[in-house]
Amino acid sequence: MIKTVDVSKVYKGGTPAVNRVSMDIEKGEFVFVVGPSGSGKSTMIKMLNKEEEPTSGSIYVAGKNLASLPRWRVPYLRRNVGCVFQDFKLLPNKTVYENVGFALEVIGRPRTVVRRQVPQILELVGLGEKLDRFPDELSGGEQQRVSIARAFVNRPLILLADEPTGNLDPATSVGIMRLLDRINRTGTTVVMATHDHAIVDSMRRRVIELEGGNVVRDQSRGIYGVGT
Amino acid sequence: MKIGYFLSETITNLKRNLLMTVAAISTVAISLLLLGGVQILGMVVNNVTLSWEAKVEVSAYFRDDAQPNEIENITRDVQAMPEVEEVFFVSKEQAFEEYKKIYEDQPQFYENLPEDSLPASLRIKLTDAAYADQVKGAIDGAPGVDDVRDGGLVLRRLLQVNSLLRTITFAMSIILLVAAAALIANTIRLAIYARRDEIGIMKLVGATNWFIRIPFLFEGVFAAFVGAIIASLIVVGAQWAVFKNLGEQITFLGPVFSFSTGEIASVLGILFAVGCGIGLIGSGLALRRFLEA
Repeated sequence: MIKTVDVSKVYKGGTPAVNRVSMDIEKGEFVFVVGPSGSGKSTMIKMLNKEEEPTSGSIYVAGKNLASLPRWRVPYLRRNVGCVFQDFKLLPNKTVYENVGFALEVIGRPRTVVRRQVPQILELVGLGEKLDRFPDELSGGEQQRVSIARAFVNRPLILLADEPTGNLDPATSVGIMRLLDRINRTGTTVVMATHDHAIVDSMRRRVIELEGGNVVRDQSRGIYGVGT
Repeated sequence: MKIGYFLSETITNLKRNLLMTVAAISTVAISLLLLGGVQILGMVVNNVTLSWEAKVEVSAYFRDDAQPNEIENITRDVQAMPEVEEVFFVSKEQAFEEYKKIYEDQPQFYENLPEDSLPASLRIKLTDAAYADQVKGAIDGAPGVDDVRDGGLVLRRLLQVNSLLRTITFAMSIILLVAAAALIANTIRLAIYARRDEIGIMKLVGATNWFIRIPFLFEGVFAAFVGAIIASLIVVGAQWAVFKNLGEQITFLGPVFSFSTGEIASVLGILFAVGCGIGLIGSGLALRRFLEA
């Protein structure tokens, strides 16, 4: 589903953020990418979505070589790759319903489908009562649920999550992880960058650890740190 | 189905970003109003010029002993000149009648004059005041002609001033056009800049550039269109209230302040074209920066 070969990213005039990373993620896997700040987790996630271009190496997502994907095809790639961010990235002047509905409108789904599916998915994430709220009227955990609902509403093959619990308290984080786990059980491949030890340790999933842009560990059913 | 989405999206955005909508509409209205004002000013100057030019006539006075065939020849020659619009022959009797009319209240000026004391003359209307000298030179010294006069130096000086004014108003309208364009484009750019995160998020969700762009373009055109309506209403209102009333009350201003419907329509047409064109182009250019990458 996701394959990277010797991927490096060097930002202008800096040390490499990602250094010759190769990884292979199967369909339906749940993978944690862990490591301290600056280890290259976010850069890695961004390259999978073609938000950033690698300096060298190649990336294949859902069978497509991203380097040879023309710019106008990028939106179509992103419809297969849902994204969840630390800062939620909800549209501030759209309601919860409209934020989630937007992901469907974008792919040209008719209104009737939007009207049926959006309340369904919001029910699933536990926000069935808050359709007409605006993002700034919601708590952080609720906003993250909206953003997950938006990422998942059109059933993407892959869900990328960049520190989705980074702004949330532990109790709320557990709820978010349950949600991501449920999504993963529907067959969606989930890649999540995090530095939250407790979460990684409790989930016991594959862990890829980055340090200074290098892969230092790739372990199935792993925990956050080997020595800790 | 898509059009429905774009329209409802546009309306929702205009409502939810009400402050920006109002700012954009009023910017457009004010810039277009200035532009329209200069256009009207230009029309006034133009009317002044036309009404003065109409007064520039060349008069050729005949000698008392001029032969009828001499008069006829000159009349025919003058009529054939391309610079000449119209020729009137004023006989000695007609000249005296006109004179009497001017001094109706003071009969002492004409009571003791013999009826044939004024010369017969040709009044020559020109197609353009600038030809006065040329026409004058052509008739001067012709057999039977005593003297040739034109409308006078003062009038011609005024016409020169007028043509300067015309150039100035034209330059002003160009400058205001550019200023209006810059102002409108800037306001739109600010409005879009304030929503750049929104554009970024739309892209992340997989929206194509056109899908993002169209509601913004609609918004830009809508704001420009409403602004143009406001500016037009004010222009028409002012024309009606100020110029028309003034023109009716002060007779000599009448021809200066009267504009044909076509003239007003062309000013409004310019306002709408400039407003909507800049609304569309401005939004498109402003978006380009945020849609790239």
